[in-house]
Amino acid sequence: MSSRLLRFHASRGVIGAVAVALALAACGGGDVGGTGAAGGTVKIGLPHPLTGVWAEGGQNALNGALLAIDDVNAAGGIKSLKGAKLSGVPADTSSDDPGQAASVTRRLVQQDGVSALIGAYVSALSLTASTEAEKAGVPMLTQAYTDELTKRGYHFLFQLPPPSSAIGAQTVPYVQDAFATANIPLQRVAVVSSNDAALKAQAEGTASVAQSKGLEVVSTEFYPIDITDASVMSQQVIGTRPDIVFLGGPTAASILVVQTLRSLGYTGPVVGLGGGGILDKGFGDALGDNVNGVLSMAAWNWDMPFDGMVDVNKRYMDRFDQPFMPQEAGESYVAVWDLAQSMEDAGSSEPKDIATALQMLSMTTGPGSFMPGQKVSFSESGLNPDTFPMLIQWQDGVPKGVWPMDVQAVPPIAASQ
Amino acid sequence: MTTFAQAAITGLLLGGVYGLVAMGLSLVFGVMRVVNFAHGEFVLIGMYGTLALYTGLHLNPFVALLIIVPGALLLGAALQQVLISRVTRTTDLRQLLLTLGLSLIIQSLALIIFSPSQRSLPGFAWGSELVRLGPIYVRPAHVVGFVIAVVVTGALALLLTRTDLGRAMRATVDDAEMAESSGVRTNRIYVVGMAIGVCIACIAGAVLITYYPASPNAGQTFLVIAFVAVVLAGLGNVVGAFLGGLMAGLMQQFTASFISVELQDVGLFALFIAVLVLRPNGLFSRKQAA
Repeated sequence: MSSRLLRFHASRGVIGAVAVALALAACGGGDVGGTGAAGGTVKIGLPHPLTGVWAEGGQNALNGALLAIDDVNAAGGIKSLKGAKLSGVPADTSSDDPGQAASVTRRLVQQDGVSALIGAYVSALSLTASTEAEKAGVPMLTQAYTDELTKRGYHFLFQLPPPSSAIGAQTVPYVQDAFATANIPLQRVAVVSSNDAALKAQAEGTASVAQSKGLEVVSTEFYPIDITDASVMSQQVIGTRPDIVFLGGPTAASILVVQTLRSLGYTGPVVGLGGGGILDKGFGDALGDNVNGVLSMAAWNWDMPFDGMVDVNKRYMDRFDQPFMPQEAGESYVAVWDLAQSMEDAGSSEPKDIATALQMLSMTTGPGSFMPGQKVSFSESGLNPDTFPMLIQWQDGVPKGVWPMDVQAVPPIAASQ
Repeated sequence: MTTFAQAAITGLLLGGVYGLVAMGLSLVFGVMRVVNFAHGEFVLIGMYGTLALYTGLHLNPFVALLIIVPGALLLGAALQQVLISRVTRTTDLRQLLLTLGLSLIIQSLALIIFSPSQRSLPGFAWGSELVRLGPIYVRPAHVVGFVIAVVVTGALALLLTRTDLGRAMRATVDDAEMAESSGVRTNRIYVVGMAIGVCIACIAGAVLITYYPASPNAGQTFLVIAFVAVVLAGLGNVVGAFLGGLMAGLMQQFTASFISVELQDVGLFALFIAVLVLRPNGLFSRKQAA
């Protein structure tokens, strides 16, 4: 039988068209649109990745903001603005095109006339979106971790979670402390992460801290975010006999890696580096029982011991049919309340007035303070200096706060299952 | 040696499904000269369709193919009749825009219906567990997927070479007008070609969901690899596309094993570029560009 059943002589033009169109395809889709109501409303732009690999987190972040906007409005809106209501204007940044993040942010500012922005969840997208916000003089609160955001001398950028460096610095000590309580020695460390800039930097930071803490880094692996099989990599990692694996990456990749590690017989702890897939509902759903015991660094968790958290979490679960309120949704929820308070304090919906009020903000009670440390304020560079990272562990199919003690909901379980 | 064997086996098994995706793409191009940018989304339809049958009717995903296959054939035929026929064998940008638009629509529908969450087959151990065969680990779903890919490739080869329908399809490919004047109803051939192309993509999706989580953009991941496989083989070379898929899988795994996991796609695209430069019509093409 011939192996050349159908043969054509493709012109270079066709191949060129394929290449051009592939590039076009990689550009992703457009924004999902949305408009703010006119008169008596203050628009908040919500640029997030709603398509692509980060869509689940982006949608969660958007949902958290929309819940908070409804809560603020139900509580009477912005009283110093005669009860003005908030209105959220979503936009799709895509997951992999910082240029699109910039262009949709520009559109939100110039065409939709938003007074403030919350976004864009992913560090690379937040960097370009915040540049547009800064140029336009519109305040932007971000859920992204990267240190770069607050190193640029911007005046309109406010970073709610702790930066990557703080998370990276605490990852190893947190895990050491948490596992010391269970008398589990951790000596040999493997670090596995996707090779996107933010997570790679975080992984390298973790490896560096582990070495400085006297641990032996036996394996460091970086993989492409669209990896389709993790067998070879996982065997290489397990071959180094790690006591613990630190893992970062988008949800699909994280699922593949954990599934493969477990089926190859690795029963030690897997610790997420913070952000990304390990905190997503989809991660728990896909792994089933294998998810229990997996740990991750986080900047927020639904079970923090603050008055009102239980109610917020329950309403989020009911409204969006989710098993828990995820980190990025919680951060967006807090961000909206902080913006609302800033508008209240400023008595204005002008972006520059809101930014000035944000710089003087000090939230220690209520939903606007629902971050680890229960205080939200911003330094001159836009950092929220009173918050700190936390360690969560999947138990009974949901992430639960296990470290530090200030935000511990349950003690860590000894080993992964 | 173990590393080499592991990379070879994993690469071959993964490559079989890459090849399946690539084969459908190549067939549609071959028969209709349509570069189908919605092909990844047909893979996605196969993934979500299987997911729905698994979670809704508790059907084994491989048994679910008995429903997926006829459904996909009908879908492909309907799409050809309603949409693709308008751009078949055209050379302008309309086919590019139409298939890209179709791709975005299917992705958006998936986003609305299934949410952006990663969805996999809960409790389906064939896809999540590895089985040890001596020093080598294999995922049962990979093996079944590979067998399905080989069977589909063989069946398609037989169809094209040993049946009247296959001969009519090849005649249409060579010269549609001449075939038409000889009594071949080319429009029907286009419908059959598109139906088979979509069907193969959906079969690939049904196999993939057994070990790779579905999300609205999952099809794009495999489309890019499929394009590489198709160009490696030579556009329109159907069985060559399957071999191109095997090569893509092997290249990824060997690069991951012996150079760096991080560079596995770099290895693949380095091969792609080398083929474009040295054999622009593909590795399995007899006639090379001057």
